Amino acid sequence: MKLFNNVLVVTSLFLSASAFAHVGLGSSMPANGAMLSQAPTTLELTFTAPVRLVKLTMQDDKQQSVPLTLPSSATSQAAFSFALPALNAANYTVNWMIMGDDGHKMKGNMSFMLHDSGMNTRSAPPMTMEHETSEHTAHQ
Amino acid sequence: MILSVFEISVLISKWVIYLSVAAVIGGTLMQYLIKGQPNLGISVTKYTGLGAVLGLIAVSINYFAQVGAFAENGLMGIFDAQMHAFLWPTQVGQTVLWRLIGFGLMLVASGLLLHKNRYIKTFSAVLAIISCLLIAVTFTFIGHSTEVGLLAQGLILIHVLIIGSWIGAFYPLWKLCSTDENIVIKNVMDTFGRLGIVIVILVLLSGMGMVWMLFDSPTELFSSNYGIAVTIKLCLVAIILFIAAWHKLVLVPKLTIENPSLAKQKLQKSIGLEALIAVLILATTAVLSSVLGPMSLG
Repeated sequence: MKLFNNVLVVTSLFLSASAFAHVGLGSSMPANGAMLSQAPTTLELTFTAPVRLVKLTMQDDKQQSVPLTLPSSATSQAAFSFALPALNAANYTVNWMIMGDDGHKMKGNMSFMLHDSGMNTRSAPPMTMEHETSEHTAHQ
Repeated sequence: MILSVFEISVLISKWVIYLSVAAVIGGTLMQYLIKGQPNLGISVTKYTGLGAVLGLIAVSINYFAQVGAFAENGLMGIFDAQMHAFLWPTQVGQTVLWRLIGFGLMLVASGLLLHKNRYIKTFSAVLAIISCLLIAVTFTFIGHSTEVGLLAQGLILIHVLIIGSWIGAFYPLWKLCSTDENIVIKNVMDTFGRLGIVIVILVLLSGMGMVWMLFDSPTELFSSNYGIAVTIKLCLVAIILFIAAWHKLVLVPKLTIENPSLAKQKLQKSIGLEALIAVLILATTAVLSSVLGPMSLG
């Protein structure tokens, strides 16, 4: 019975919804949830440990992608910097997928808002400010 | 959290990899302990050979499932050339390569061990040891310990070699109990029991050392999912240690005293139970080392 219970608890872990602690995004520039009146010229992502960036996309709220060039994956690094083109006023979401030095996959997103500098008073739609590390898959 | 097909495949294949590693390392150790038992020797050789084949299959499935998980492009994602090109030069690919070489060498060693020539047998024994070391070393390439440092990597190397020797020995020991010579069973079990003391000390030291390094505070053992999984693993380890002590102190001495065939049956059953718990420990470890992560790395 004890064995059965142990198996049950292990199985329930598969379905558990709480967050995992793994390498993730430590900070970013612009910060997650930032409301900016001046368009940033660079996007900086700093992870909690060296990682290889597998995928990175940046989109505005109309699903228009902002082109970003991924660095070579030859070595892992903690901080990444990307030059941004001239941005229009919009909500931007950055989706990242990384592989930590432990071989684990992690992904998550961060977002920021760029105001139209002349229209700072307009009511912007509420934006999600979650910074989630939603997935983590196995290594060997 | 709902795991994708790839994540479940990674998890199950990882579990099979662990079982194969145990079979290969434990089988190699047992070849020495059962010298002079040719029939049993052949069984153990087949066991390590099967472990090697399962290992080769599981390592390959594990790699393709990882590529699929990274590609996020449905089932065809496992053939994503870009993701293969990304993963292969990394520690993921290196681990796969060296594990394939390790299990491949073990397969060759198992084949050569069946040969009658003494020199070929010796060569195969050397090959088997090299293969065990290669496979164990790959555990330092990848996993949570790589994020912690060199000491943790040293501990994981010892942990894998020792756990493999222990868990992988259960099948040969179980098989040994089917032989008629109780005195041989007793001798092998006594030798294994003496080794067991060293094994237990090293397993506990290396395991606790890693827990110490991966956890910031003991409360995480109960408050985080990773901690709970580690606690479950520790409970299972405690049960298996209890069974091992029961064998050493009660069942093995009985082999040559009262009703030997009954004692042998009891021992065989008990080793079977021990093996079952070991399989559960490895399953918990597969969950621990993949879908969950320690808080300290957050």
